[in-house]
Amino acid sequence: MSVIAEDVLIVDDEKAFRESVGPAFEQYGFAVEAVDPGEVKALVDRGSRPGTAIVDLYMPGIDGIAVAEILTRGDPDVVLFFLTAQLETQQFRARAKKLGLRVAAWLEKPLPDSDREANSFFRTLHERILDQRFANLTDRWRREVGFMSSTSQMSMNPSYQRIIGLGPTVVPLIIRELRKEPEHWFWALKAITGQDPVDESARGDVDSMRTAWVTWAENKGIA
Amino acid sequence: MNPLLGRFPGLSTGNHRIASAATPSYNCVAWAAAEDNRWWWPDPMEVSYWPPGIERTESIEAFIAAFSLLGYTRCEGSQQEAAFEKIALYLVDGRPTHMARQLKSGRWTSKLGSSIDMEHGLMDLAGNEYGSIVVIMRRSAVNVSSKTTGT
Repeated sequence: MSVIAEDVLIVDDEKAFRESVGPAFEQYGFAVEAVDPGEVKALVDRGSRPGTAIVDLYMPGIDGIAVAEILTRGDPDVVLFFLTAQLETQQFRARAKKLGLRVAAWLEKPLPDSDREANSFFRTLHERILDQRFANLTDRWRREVGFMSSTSQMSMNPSYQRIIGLGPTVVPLIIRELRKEPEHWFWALKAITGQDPVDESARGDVDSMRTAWVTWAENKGIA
Repeated sequence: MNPLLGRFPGLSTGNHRIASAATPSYNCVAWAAAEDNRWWWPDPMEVSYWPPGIERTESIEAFIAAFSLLGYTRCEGSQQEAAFEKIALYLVDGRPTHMARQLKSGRWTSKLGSSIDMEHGLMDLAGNEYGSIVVIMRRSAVNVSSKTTGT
């Protein structure tokens, strides 16, 4: 299980579910706030910015997609999960796509109750959250620094700094991106790992630096 | 819509020409120095290339010193002079943001960060993103390769 303490907002109209779900999440490293959908707007207006939100899809009055719209207005980088006991999600998926909502996963209700299933569920949840958060921050960073030449300004970008703040757990994701294409991840890798496998003569040579870091990761057993 | 037009108000559909695809392999400083295989910047983390012996600070002085090594000296005007090749340094609040290099035609060539490189008028890229042109440098065009003269 990851050691990251993760704030999660759970939005569900069923009071019994809201009251029962907290302890299970907390056991697996989450700090949970469970609210009725009617409370979400006030929460956002008060400046609450949950890093992750798990939102029930089928709710009377306001459905999960509408709730997600409110949440993303407060924080476009919130990691979103939808939760449903219904099999039919096509129309919701279509609406989410049309609205540009980046959904980490569509989860099934009820949540697992056996220890074995719960272990697997929450481990996957932690992985999905990290993956989606990294993807959201990377997208924003790319949009904001695409025309910059200053390595310092690119690296001081708030999204890039938040990626660095994710710590060693994000290194495999950065290496995965580097394997796909060359990009300016070198400052982040140096800052997180405290290491630098790049020869001084290769500074600025993005292709050589990429190769050096991918090789470093392979030698460290980082998949 | 061309995303450049929203970011650089001086650009319009007809006043620039995109000359290469986007790549993170080199930036405007490298391109001003006629290189297209590494990223130049005086970053303190020392991930980018910067000429050895030149201070790694985001300052006019550091950029002038770096390009002095390539034979450039500071000059006044950006107008074309047949015997010289010119480069321009853009700044925001005293901090270097961008460089451009003059072509034989008198127009300018720029690599926009990790994005494309393009041909443009010098003032077309001035504005919020890159600020204003504060430094012009020139060097003799004699013995300069065809690549650096933009042919």
